[in-house]
Amino acid sequence: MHPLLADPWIAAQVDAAVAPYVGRLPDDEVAWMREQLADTLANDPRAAQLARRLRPAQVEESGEVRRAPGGVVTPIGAARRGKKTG
Amino acid sequence: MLAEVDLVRQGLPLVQMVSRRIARRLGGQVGLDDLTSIGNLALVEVARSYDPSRAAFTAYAASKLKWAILDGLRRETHGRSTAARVLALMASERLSEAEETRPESDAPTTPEQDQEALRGLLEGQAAAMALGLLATPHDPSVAPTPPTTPEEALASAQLRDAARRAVAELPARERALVERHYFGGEQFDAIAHDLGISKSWACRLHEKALGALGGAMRARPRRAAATCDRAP
Repeated sequence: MHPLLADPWIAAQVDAAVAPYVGRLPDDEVAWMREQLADTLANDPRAAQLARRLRPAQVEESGEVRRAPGGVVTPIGAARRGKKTG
Repeated sequence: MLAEVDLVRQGLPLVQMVSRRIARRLGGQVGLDDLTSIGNLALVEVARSYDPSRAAFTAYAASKLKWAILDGLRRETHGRSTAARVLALMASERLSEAEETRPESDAPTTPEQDQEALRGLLEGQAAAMALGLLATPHDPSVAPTPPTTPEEALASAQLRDAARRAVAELPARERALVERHYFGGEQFDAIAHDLGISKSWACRLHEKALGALGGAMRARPRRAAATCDRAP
């Protein structure tokens, strides 16, 4: 599988483009078309530029926070990272 | 000015590069050696026809070699599946080249416009490949399509029919270009010549036609689904 297809946003763009052909062309040809479209997104300058502009930034943790008594606010991701285990 | 022999020497790594890329895009259906050998033969003619006043050798040769290899494959490939993929790749590459020749606009765009542009580009590419895969190989040496299940045969026939109906709705010149190339098996350059238009203009018409087809193909399954939903 083309490495770009591991990205859910890229896969969604590609899947939308091949949707009219799913079930109408053999599965292996649809899979091949998906690979080619991922290749287009990687190598076609215009497609790559559009994808760079549109693709949502990767979010590593949510913006959820914990409010402790006294008004102390801690991001939940940070609290989890700091939590001791074992 | 570089002599032909120097240009050939300079072009050898390009043959390797272009061959590897085509081999990868064909999903390993054709051996790298076969592609390289077509490319090496073509390189001599590429060096001979190069005009330094028009383009850098690398860009010129990469494009010429790509088309020479794809065209050589189209003529020499005897397996239906590989022949179909070669036609699909040629359609995809033609679309990309038309996109590259379009002048860049500095006008700012909204995310909605960018999303629409990306969707149109991918839909056009998908339509180009689907048409290539559906195209009738007119070379009698190409092996017939291997037997498929009745369901696959029916689905493929329905898609071909949907594509033909979408093509029939295109403006006259675009329709002629697409019908004659994909369903009539005629060479793209010959059709452009016959229509009295340049190859680059034909590429732009092809791009426009494929963009329209991509949108039409997207709309068709929805209409079919709506019909089914209404059925008792």
